[in-house]
Amino acid sequence: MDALSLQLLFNGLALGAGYGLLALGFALALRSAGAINFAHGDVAVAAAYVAVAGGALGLGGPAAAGLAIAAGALLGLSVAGLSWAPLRKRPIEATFIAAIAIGIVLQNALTASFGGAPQAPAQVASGGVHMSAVFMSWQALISLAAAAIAFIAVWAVLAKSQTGRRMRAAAEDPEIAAAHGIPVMRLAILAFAVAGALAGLAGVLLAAQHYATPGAGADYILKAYVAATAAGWGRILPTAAAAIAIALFETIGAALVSHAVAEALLYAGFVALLAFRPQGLGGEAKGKRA
Amino acid sequence: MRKLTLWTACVLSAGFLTGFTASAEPVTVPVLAPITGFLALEGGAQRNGALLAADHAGDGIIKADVQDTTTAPAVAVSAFRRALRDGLPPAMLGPILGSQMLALLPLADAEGLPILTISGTAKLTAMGSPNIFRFFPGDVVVKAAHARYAVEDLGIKAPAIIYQTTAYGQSGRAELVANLKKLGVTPVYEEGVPPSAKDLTSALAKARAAGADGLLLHLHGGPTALAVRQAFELGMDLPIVAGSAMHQPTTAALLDPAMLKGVCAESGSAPAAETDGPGKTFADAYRARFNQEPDAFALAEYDAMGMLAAALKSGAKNPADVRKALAEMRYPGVAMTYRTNGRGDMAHDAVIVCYDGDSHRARIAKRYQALDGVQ
Repeated sequence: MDALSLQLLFNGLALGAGYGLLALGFALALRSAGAINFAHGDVAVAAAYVAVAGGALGLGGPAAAGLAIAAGALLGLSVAGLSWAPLRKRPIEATFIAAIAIGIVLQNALTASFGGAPQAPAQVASGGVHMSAVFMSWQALISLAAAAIAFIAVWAVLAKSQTGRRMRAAAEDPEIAAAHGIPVMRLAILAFAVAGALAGLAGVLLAAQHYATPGAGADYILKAYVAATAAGWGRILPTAAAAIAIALFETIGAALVSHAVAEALLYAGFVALLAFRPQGLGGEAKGKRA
Repeated sequence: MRKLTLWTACVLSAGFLTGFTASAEPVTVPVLAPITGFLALEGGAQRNGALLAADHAGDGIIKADVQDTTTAPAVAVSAFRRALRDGLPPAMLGPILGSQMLALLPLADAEGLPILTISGTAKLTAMGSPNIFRFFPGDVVVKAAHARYAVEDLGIKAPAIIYQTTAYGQSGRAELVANLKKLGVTPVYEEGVPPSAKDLTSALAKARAAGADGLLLHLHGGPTALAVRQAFELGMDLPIVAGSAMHQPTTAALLDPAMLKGVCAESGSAPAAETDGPGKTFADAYRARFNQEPDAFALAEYDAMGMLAAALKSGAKNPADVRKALAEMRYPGVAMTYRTNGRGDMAHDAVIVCYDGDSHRARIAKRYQALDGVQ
């Protein structure tokens, strides 16, 4: 593999770390609460702006990133409280329209507060290292490490812990789970908070390398939605893997053809997948799609 | 600071408002700008420039009635209607977004209302409307400066062009290629990238592989910063001449100063880079009023409002008077002297700014005048 290919692979994986974290949170809320949280991308962007504000107040990169994660969790709870909990017994369209509305409010609040210029939060670490002819920024390496830790942690909680087993039971059949004393509502809200924290982490990592604008959430949620559909509706870790694959396709595909053609091919492939395998590559875990 | 602000306001106002009296009726000038949405940066600068010019009018002689058009043409049309609810103003400052201006132009023609704009969309002044007056140099002007500086000053003979796939990007790319051709230069590589692209490594690597000896960028702010940063990280030791996004202080702020070394950009003006004269006076007043750095859009809007004020001062009282005045006057603004080319293009000059790699502050490297031949 030549140096350019290695560079593109590294860049694609670093971008995929951000996309993967976003998709992980999106799928977690989807699986645990049945919520299609269209505000998820805007939560990520808002959290990144919190990190920008923290930096302006003198916080360093790690502290600002921590603040963004906390802000993401709080925003996740807010989305649950405003768009999901009061509307969860209504037709599902009501919850995702409400989430879209929250996202638009967030976008405009960011524009009003920060203006429309691209912003970058303080990096957790600046500079990088050349290995052979491949440049690896410390920020990108930290993104990869953070994403790997988050993926393992979410997998461990879902697969190995009592809370994870309860979450899965609640997701499979909320009424039976509630009859067995599982606090379905509380677990769903916890899922929103964790999803928000993951969005916060994704937002700050992506913005540090690719900058943030108030409207960037629309692109983020599109990627997460495509990943969730391609992987199989409600499959959490496969959704994150699909998001990483999208990032690799974006970077490597652009080298093979061009950015514009690669983007068109990505969505053409998605349409073809929907036509031939609408349940996604892994089948639907949730069994219900909006 | 208060004294300084007052002084600069007086200096800037003197050029276009002598003759107005405090007892004159306030003239309400609608200012339509995309303050929210993806053009909020440029729309905010547009609003600020108009407000500062209205401030400098003093004593409420001009009242700027700012309306947010977001980014949808339909919203701009609603804002236009709202602005006319109390009668026809003498003129209007239109939104920077070309698609919105195109939607407003038939309405302006129907009402006979002059619109002063800083939109760069070439089609606006090519449709034969007598009511359009553009105060920001179009691509015909700035891309001539872009190409000439790259070829004549930097000696680039085999440029690569990376441009945005939007209408903005394609229009600029076409003018850039045409101007390079006039100079006897053909790009060795071209690629359009969508604004959502997160990694430009492949485009940069292809440019290098094609034997490019310079990079010409025509991208929005975020993608420009991404391209400059990734070119630095790839160790591409090539001169970069970027589009006007790179002259904006907010774009430069995204990068470490070292990454900016040798990077240049075209623009209609660069008030934040001015070190003396009216440009610096404007920049100081802008910083004092808004606590941020001014850009070329803010200054162009400021000058547009200034020329409108000068037209009113000269006795224009209604849209027909203003249209006639704008079509006949030469107005010495802060950025340049404005005069129409007969189609409503008022701005004909451009600048090149460059960064030295020690700070985020650009310096003016070259000034070009009458690039489209309008003297």
